[in-house]
Amino acid sequence: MQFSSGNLKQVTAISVVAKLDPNDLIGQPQCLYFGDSFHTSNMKLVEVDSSVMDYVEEGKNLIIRGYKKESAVLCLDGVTFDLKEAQTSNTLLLLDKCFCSPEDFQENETDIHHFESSHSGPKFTDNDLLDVVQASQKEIRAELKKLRACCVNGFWRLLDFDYEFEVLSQILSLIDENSWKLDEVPQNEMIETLQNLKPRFILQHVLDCFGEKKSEASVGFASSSANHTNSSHNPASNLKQCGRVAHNHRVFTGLSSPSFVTGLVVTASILMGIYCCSTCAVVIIKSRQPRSSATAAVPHQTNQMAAMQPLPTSGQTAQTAVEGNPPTYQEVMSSPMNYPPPGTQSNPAYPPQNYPQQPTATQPAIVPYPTQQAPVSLPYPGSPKPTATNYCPIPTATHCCPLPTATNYCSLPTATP
Amino acid sequence: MQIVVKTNLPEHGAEWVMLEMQGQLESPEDEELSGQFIGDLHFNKKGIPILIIGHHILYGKVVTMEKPFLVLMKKNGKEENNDDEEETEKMETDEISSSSETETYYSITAIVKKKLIFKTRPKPIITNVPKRL
Repeated sequence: MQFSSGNLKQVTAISVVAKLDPNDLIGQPQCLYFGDSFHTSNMKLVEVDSSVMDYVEEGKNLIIRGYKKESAVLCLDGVTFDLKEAQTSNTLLLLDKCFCSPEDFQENETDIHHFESSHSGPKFTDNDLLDVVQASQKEIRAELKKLRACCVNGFWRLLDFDYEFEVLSQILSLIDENSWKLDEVPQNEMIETLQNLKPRFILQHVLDCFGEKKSEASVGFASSSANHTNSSHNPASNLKQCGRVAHNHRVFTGLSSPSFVTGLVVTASILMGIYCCSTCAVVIIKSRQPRSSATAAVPHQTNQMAAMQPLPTSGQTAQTAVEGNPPTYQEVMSSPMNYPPPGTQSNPAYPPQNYPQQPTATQPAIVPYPTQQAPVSLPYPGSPKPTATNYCPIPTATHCCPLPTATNYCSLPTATP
Repeated sequence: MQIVVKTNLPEHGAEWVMLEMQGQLESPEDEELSGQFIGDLHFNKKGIPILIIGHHILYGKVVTMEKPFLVLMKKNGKEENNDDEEETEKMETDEISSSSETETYYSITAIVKKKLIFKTRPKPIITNVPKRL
């Protein structure tokens, strides 16, 4: 059977004449035509039960066995069925594409179209991809899975970033609302609830991409979203990160924030290799392995500067080290984040501390600054070189409160007779 | 003798829908049916399918079949003229015997789980209701 859109006006006119209330109808009317090549002679319909159907859907073949004088039987792997021919006086028509439920209509009418309208460019079906891409089928599939491509009406599509984020945040807020455990989310219930907002197959697709099927009914989000955020022992924040990542990454790369150095072009490559705390609002998609396993194992809250170089400790070398540093560090410093004070590097052996540290009683009240003659120990490589003019003035006798001397003490009362 | 029924379901569009109605469809001029327009299929908000064929309107129902259908297409065998559906197992055993010469096999091209069944008598569509004088 073939489908063709026909002339919508005509069809609608006919339906009105037939006294059908157009307000009562949903979806588009479908025009039915007989197929061009009419080969019922080669076609057989076989009525089967659910076990055979499942067997066939798994992709397995069936066998018909029998001799001329015997009746034929249909064989599966371990079961045999008797085959009998049946007659019916009814007309049976087969439609290869038919929308026949309110859900089918909904899935086609909703926001897909809204996002579709901005799509331009070619669409590819499975076969088209196999035609164009020089790779094996499995490799293509794996790549499509990595890209989180979705098959819509036979075409492979990439979900729009905003749309995907929207779906994900709806899923996450539903999980929040119902206080579901992240590693055991009831899949069917979720789809049922959200199907009014988003098409079912999109929900299913997003769940498949970001979650793992734990059982027939539930989906887990434990570790599968780790590829988008730094690995964390807490799946809840992990998944929330995913949402926040998407949002903040967008914000980060899209705007020039006033807290950045003027003239700085913000791209994700600037922050590659750096893992940041969630409260700092930006998590960069990891694009290379951390330099050492130690940095990867550091707990979530700690700021890490995975690529930070050891601080210079002697004279002129410090200066040259500054020159040689890649611009990465300069820009990073300008962003509104807390860094560990100089000289302290993240050490997994010690618990994370709040930075900057408040002076405690054990610290001297006045921190002596190095003089110009002493070797310059820079707080961070790449910071502006300290000069006499931009350091805080070295406390000297003239600035401090005058030291008590014999002349300006109150004179001791002397004994007078 | 064995005939293989190969499962050849496409990734998408493997599920077809069946339309069942009583009676026969005929072309007005008795010409060939292939490629001809049949009618319009509408759905109302209650999920009832409505078929308009010619000047008849039929109301039906969407039914999930308890026993779904497999659509088999015969392939690669001799094009035998056994179109007669009245022939029962004989036809299949005939085909079985011929398969020794040519590779006759069946291919499952689709499955049918849902059908639209139109059981009620078609109502004529009246366009011009004469007014009572």
